[in-house]
Amino acid sequence: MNRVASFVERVLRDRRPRPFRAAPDDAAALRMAIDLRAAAQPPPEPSAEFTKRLRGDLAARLGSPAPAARPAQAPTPAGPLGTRRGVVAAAGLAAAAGLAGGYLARGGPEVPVLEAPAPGAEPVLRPETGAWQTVARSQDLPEGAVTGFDTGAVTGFVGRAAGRVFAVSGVCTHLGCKLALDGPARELRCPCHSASFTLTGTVLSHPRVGALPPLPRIPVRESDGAVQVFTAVAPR
Amino acid sequence: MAAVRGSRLRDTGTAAAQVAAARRLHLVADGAYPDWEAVYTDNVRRIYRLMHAKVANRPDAEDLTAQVFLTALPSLRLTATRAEVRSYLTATARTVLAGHWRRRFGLEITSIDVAEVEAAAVAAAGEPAPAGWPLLERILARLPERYRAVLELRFLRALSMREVAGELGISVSNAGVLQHRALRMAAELGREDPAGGAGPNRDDGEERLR
Repeated sequence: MNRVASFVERVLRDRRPRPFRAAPDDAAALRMAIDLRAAAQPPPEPSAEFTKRLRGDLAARLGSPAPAARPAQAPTPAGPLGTRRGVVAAAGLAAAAGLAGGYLARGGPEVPVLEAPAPGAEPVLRPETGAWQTVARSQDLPEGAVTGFDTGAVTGFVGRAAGRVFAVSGVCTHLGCKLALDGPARELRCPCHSASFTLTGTVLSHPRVGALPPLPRIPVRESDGAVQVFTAVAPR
Repeated sequence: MAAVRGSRLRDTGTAAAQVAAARRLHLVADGAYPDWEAVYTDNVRRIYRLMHAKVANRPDAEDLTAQVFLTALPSLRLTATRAEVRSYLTATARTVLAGHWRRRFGLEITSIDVAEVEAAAVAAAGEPAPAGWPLLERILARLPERYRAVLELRFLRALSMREVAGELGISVSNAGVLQHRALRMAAELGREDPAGGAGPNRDDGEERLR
């Protein structure tokens, strides 16, 4: 009952309610509270700050809209990416557009490309000394596939989306538990406090109030039919 | 100004200008969006309001709206019609909301009925269904007086628990108990009310509660 009361209190103050395991009876009460709250106020407008921030995030992920239709706006990373730091710090939300950074090997499988990370993008787990280590065969990682890996020093997930390979750390940025792959939902879930991330590391939900950092990216490439990540070498 | 623009178009010649013109024609022809930004601009308010009606707080509504667009836009075909894009976004919103509730509360507190949202969109040119205040009012009217009073003071007049307790001449903890029972009973009445229940979030409530 205290949890339902707390939920009502948070909603009435326009705050994010704290999560708990709701019983069915609780759910009915929470639903009634949401209906009452939503019905008692005029439909709200999204804030200009929010819509601008999300537009920047989308631009960082998708590039400038339709370059062919807007020849004057060649895709330049400066605009949208410049806003990213503020976004990640302020909201820590899905904001951090997972695909935006330089961790994607672009082009065909023979082209290992590793771009410098964009300013303000997710952190890159780049060891001082390390080695490219094969974690999967290219043929075993078709479009849409994701698989876990463990190089001894680093655990993570590699996958392929839109023809490109990506790799992220498999350790929750909350308190360090190992993330589990939920294939059907295409999410990485933390067993400890129910944080979850997109496959490319963007925070989907987090267990505490405030921001959770996205998953660090891991440099990845394809070379001679092998998917390789650049990580530290585990001490023997 | 127009002259300047005209001459630049003539100068460049140009595939780009022709493509732009063709796109505009295309747009008129089948009602598709020219680019993702147009999809975003045209739908962000609608999706935000839809989410806000389902979670009733700004931080969650913003996060969930962001998730909808970050999930949906990368795989969106721009050849789809506007209506198709709208349905796709609504369907994505439904999935995103369901995941949100399951992760944070273990079951789905509210849900999005895509067909209902679609019907409302057709009726009101893109606006989500209006919140069901008349239905809620009917439910409130059937509550015992003190139950109704506590809900009205809290939700309509936005009083704090302390103020509610003062208004009703009871202790704060008793006001809390009263609020809890009132919500539970209102939910019960909403479930029994065959004609509409507790507004836009009621549908398939029974299913969820199994």
